Amino acid sequence: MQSVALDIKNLRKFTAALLKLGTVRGPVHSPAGVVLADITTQSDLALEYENFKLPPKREFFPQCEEITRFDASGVREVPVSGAADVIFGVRPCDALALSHLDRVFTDDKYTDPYYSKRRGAALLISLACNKSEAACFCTSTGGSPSSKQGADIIGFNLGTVLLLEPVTARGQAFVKKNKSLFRDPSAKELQKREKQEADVAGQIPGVAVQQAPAALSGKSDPAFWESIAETCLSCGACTFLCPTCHCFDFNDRTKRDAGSRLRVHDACMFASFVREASGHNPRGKKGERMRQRVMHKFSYAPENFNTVFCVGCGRCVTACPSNIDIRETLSKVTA
Amino acid sequence: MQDAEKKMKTAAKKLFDDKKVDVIVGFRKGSRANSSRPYFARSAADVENLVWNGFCTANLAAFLPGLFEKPARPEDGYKPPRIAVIAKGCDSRSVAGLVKENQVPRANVIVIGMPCNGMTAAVKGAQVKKDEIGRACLECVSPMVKDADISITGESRKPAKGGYARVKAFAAKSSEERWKAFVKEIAKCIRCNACREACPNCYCKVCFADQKKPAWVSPANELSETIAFHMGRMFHQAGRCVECDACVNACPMGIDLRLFTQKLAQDAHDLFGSVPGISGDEAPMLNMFKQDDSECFITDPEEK
Repeated sequence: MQSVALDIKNLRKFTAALLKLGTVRGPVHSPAGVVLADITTQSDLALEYENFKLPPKREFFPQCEEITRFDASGVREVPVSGAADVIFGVRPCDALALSHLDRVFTDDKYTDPYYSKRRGAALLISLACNKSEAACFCTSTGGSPSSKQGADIIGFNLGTVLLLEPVTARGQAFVKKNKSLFRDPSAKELQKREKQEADVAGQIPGVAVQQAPAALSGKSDPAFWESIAETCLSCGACTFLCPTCHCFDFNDRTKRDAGSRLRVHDACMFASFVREASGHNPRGKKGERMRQRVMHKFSYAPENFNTVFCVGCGRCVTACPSNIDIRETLSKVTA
Repeated sequence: MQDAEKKMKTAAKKLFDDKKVDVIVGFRKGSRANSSRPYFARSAADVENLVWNGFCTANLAAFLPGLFEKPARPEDGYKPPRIAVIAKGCDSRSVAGLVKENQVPRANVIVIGMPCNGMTAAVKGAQVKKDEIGRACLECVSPMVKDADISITGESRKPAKGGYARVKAFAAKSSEERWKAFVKEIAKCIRCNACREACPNCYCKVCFADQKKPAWVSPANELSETIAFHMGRMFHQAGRCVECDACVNACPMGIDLRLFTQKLAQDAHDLFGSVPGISGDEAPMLNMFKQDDSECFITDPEEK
C-alpha cells in the first residue's frame, strides 16, 4: 500500500493520535536499555534501538496469567486484562513471530481466547531495522529487516522522517483517519528507504535454515544431540526469550478453600518439562531435550504450518550462558 | 596468557596420552565476539580446541555433578569417570566445596590450575560495561588456584583486599530501603533458572523450586513467588557461595544477584570465620556447631 511520511518533529502529534485509540505501548529508554512500556503524551518514543530484550509475544501471551478463580461456590473465568490498543516499535522479526503464533493460537478449529483477544485489540506498528545486530539471521528464516508480515503498519526511520506503510486494512484505516499528520513521501525518501532496506539485509549473514527441515528428518542419532547439548545448563533462557516459543503449563495457586489457575510459560529445556508423575522422564537427557527444541522449530512447525518457527532474532544466541548457538547447530544438522 | 594456554594444552594432551583422564572440562572459542564457552575435550585431538583467554568466565565446576552422575542403569563394573578441570581460583574453590559435600570424588578430579587475570563479565545487564573485567574478579580474594594437581604458571591478579564495602553500604540503609531495592532488582527475573543451573552449588536432583508436593514456590513469574525462589536459593548458598558470579553472568536479565550473595559470604566470614572453598578441611559451615558461634543474626539481626 501507499506509504506516507511523518516528519519526526510531529512525533508527539503522532503519539497523541495513537493514544486516541487507547493504551499504547512503545519503545522507551530505561536504565535496563530500551523496553516496551506504556506511552503517555509526554513520552519520548525511542526510534534508535536494536531490539527489546524480551520478545513482544509477552504482550499477548503473558508469562503468567490468571485464567480462572475457584472456591466452594464454583469456578469463575477471569476476564482478559492488560490488552494494549496499540503496540509500536516491534521489530520485523518479532512481528513475523507473532504471525506464526497467530496460527498456533487462532487456528480454525481452536482459538485461544486470551491470546486472540489481546492480539485482536492491538494495532501493531512495526519498525524496520536501521542496522543489524551480531546475532541476527532473519533473512534466512523467511523474514527480513523490513518484513511486513504480522504488522498492521511498518515504519521506516529515515532520521528526520518516519515513513509509514500500511500493511493491513486496519493499518490503512488508521493512516487515512489521521492523514492530516502525514504527507506524501518524496521520491528521494522512497529511494533512501529502499537503499536502507537493501543495506541492512546485506549485512546479515546467511544460516542454513531452509535446508534444516529435510536434514532433520534423518537426525535421530542420540550421540549427535548429546554432542550439541553437553554444555547445556537446562535453563530456560533460550525459550523464555524466544519470540515464537509458546509452551505453557498450568499451576494452581490455592489459599485455604479458594484459589486460582495460572497459565505460566514453560520451557522444553527444563529437565522437569515432560517428567511424569511416576518420576520417569521421557526426555531425561540434555540431548533429548535439545533435539525436541530444534525439531519443534525446524521440523514439526514446517510440517504443521509450512514455516520454520524461528525468525532469526538471535536472542537465544546472545542469552545462552553456555553459548550454544542455534546457527552452528543448524549448520551441523545440515552438514 | 597465550603462554599459559600453550602450557595448559601440553598438560592436557599429556593427560590423554598417559590415559589418565576421560574428559577435560575447559573452554573453547565462543561464537559471539570476544567470547569463550565451556567445552568438554574427550580426546587428545580435542585438546587443540581448548583456549585460555580473558573470556573464560563460566564456573566450570558447575558441570562436575552432572558428569559424575551415575547412570540409572550402570553397566557392570561401572567406575566414575576421571575428569580434569581447567580451573580459575573460583572454580577450584567450588571443586573443593563439591568434594566437601560429597558430590565429587576428589580422587577422580584433576584440577589444572590456571593463572587468572580476571575474566570479562558477560554483557547482559546494564550495570556491566562491555569488555570489562567483572566485579567478581575485581573483588576476588583468591585468584590463585587451591589444591591444583597441575599448576600452569603465569601472571595472576593480586588478591583483592575484600572487606565487602558495597554490602556494608547496602546494609547501612534502612530495612525498608533494602527491601525496596531487593524487590526492584528481583522483579526483573523471568524465572528461567539460569542462575541456578550455572551455579556449582545448585546440584540438587530436585530443586525445592521444582517440587510439586508440596509446591514451595510456583514457577510463575509473580513477584511474591519470584522473591520466594530467590530467597530460598540464596539461603541455600549461605556458607557455600564462593562469589564467582556464575549466576550473575548467566542471568539474561542482568540482575545484580551479587549484592545479595555477597551478604551471605560476608556473614559466613564475619560471623563464623568461614571462607567457602578456602577454609581447610573442616566440615561445611552449616554442618558444624561451635560453642562460640555467633548468634547475633538471630538475636540482633539489625546489628551492623
